[in-house]
Amino acid sequence: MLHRNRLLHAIVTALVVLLLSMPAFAHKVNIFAWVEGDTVHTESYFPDGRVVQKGTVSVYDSEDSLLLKGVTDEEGLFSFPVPKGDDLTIVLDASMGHRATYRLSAEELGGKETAAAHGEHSLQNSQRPKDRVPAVKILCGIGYIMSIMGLSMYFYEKRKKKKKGLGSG
Amino acid sequence: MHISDGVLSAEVLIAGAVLAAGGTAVGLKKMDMDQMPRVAVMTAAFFVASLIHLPIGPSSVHLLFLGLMGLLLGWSCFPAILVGLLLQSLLFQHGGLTVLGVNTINMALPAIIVYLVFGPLVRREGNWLPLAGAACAGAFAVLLSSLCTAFSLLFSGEEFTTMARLILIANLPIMGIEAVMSVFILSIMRRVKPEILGASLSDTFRGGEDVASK
Repeated sequence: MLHRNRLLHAIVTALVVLLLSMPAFAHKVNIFAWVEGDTVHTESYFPDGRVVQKGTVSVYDSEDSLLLKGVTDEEGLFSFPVPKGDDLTIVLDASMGHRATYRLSAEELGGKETAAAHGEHSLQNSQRPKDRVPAVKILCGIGYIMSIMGLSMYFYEKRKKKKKGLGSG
Repeated sequence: MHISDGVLSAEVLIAGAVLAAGGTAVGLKKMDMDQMPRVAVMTAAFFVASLIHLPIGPSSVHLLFLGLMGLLLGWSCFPAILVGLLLQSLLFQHGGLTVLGVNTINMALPAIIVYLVFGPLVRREGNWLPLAGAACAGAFAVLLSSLCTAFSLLFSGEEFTTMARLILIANLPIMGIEAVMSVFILSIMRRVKPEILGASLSDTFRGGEDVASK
């Protein structure tokens, strides 16, 4: 049994080594929003940095009613005038079942902070943050899988022994 | 293939969860404890595969290993894919907890179908038939999975044909790569450890043997 799995182990080890040496991105979409004067700008992108084209952006207020809807352009951007001074939830639907949300608080929509926030955001904007998956998380997941295997085998053996004990006694 | 939280309606989520629970129960029942290490290793491979992205085609797609999961694990691919997806959603926020059932069905069902259809071909004697079977399994698993995903989105207002075409086109490169990879890995296995394929053969017939021995 042990050596039967040696080849599989080798393949997976090779895969993991390969993975750890290359950038790993979680497969989810992201939406990012910032305020500039009376306009809210949004940018939508995949974790590897590709922009989401023709994604549907819906804006909801704090009572979950739809305020407006729009489609992202070729650069993944969509802008709209501030609809009201409420907490906004911006939902991106990138089709194929991909979805992401971004929350803009009422304070961010008006007041002096926006200018400062804007400076920050446009910087972030030019260096679009990529969601790298840390290697630790990958190892962590593999650890979980191996623990599930180990535990189930342990309890199986224990039960088998118990049954045997009962049978002979 | 990973649908996010909040996209699907409750009915679809519940139907998916019920079907996935059923499939997992069958998978666990058919699984032999001896196969546990293999199932775990393939689960780990499936778990990391989604991090390998391909910068080809119109959208962002990643590897799935579905054909291999089906061919090597048979019905055990249900619990394997469930655990893999659970960890992907917890650690990478990829997919989601409420859609776990639907996503499991969308990936495990195609894996089982290719196992039942192309599995016998892969275990044949000869040079070309098994490899052709492996290639078909790799490609068709992704094809079927795309159709399943499009079908689950059908009830959330997306039109089936447009959605299916979109997902299929996005996953065309994955189909090709998974076909080539399945051929590669299975041809190595046939040469080095043919009993790996034989073992998954025996568990299809184990039910029959049990009946015969009674």
